[in-house]
Amino acid sequence: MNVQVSRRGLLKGIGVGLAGGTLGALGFGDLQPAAAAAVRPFKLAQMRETRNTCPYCSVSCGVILYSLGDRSKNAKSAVMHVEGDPDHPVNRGTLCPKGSSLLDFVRSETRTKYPMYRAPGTAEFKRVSWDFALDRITKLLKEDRDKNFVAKNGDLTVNRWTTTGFLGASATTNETAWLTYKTVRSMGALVFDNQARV
Amino acid sequence: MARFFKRTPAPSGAGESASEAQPRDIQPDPDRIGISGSVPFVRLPDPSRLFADRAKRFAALAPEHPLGAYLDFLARLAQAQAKVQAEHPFTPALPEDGALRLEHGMPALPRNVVTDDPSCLACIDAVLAVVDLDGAPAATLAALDALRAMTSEERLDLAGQIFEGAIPVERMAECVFVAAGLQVYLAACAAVLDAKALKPVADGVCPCCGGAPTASLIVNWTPADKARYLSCSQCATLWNHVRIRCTACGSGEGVSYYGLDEVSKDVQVETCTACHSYLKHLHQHRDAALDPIADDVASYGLDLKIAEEGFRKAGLNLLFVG
Repeated sequence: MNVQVSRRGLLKGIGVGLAGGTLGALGFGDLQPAAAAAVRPFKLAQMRETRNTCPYCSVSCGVILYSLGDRSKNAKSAVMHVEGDPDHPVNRGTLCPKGSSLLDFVRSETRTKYPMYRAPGTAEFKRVSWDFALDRITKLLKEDRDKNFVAKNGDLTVNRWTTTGFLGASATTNETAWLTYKTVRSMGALVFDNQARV
Repeated sequence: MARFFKRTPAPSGAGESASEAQPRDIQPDPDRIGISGSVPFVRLPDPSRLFADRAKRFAALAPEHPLGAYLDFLARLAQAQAKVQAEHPFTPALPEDGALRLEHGMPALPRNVVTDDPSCLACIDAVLAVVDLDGAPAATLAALDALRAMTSEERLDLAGQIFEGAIPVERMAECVFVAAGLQVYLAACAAVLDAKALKPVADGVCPCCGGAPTASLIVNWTPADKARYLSCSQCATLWNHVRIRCTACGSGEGVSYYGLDEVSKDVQVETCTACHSYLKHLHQHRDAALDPIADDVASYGLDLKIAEEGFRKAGLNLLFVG
């Protein structure tokens, strides 16, 4: 309805020229400076609402994250509140006790925010780069697959790899799920499940 | 609150009141636990309460408000609307091609209900007759006199122009009174429509009369708790619009909410950086007294602030075109 907006914009432009639109036309134009003065000391507070999916279980409830701060400027954003999404067909605005506590989940000090690595023989986790993490996972997968891959069961070709498992996440889309399935199955992995089924 | 338990039918002869049902008679009814799968698309106005409640809201907002005198004037206008609604009952002449209009995605009420139905002009004239303008500025009284001096065709023509969203700039003052009468008429028309038959027309267009929204409300009634409804500027119909989506252009990107926290946290504006427009966003689930039209006027300071940020108003308030 952009036509409607531009038409209103025109109307507004004309109205301003006419000393405050209806206010001016009805003889209340002298109230406008007072109305402007009343809000002059205040600052506009910006809040954003963002749709997301609850990460806990397979029901995949829709949530709305309320955050302060404008992502496009240098201000620091912070999630202030989490609530069920009333438009989401799965939960219609409701959340279970776990979902209701998502704000604590977001703000938790122990939440994993980046890849962590505890080297063999050391006592604590250290932050590592994504490259390091992905390389290491790939290397370990390859090692394990090379060692344990079963190509034949007697004369029968089976091409299976049962010593490593894979679990998909609950909020995956159809496309992600399709890719996950193709990737994992193409390696011969049989131990494969998805949180969205649990 | 939804009923979570269904009761067995009371034995014959027993009283009907729920207090006499014994706990052992209450059977679990899992089907009714929780919420309904969808929210109603429209909520039609209840004219018998609409204008009286609005008049009370205007009167409650007026004291110590910078626009107090104007709010007081609108309180009197809303009282006149309530009085006309209560004292001039009529049967709206709905169009015969209503089903055809809905089938083709058009609003249920066409322009000719305004121009052809004599009840519409009767509503406008009744508002002009009963409105009490004691102490109003000379310009307001002059506008009322000018309207009374007009022929009925001219008044009806003005109503038609308002219905089309083309408010004549040189007649803005007169338009407030005509719009007040038009609201009484259109609310009565909308109230008798079949809510289940109405379908979405377009983003930001009322499914009943094709009008623009005044404000967006986060409502608190049971089947649609915290869903968002747009309130029509003309017929006061509420229709559902998905949250966090611009009401003017339909974009979901760049939607933000601004408010003056020192004034009220329940009144915000929803802004869109795709079309640079905004609409008032009222949290009725926190404050049930919020009225789309009254609180749009009362939060005029927020309009001034958000205009400084470069946003244009996408909503329309026929009693306060600015």
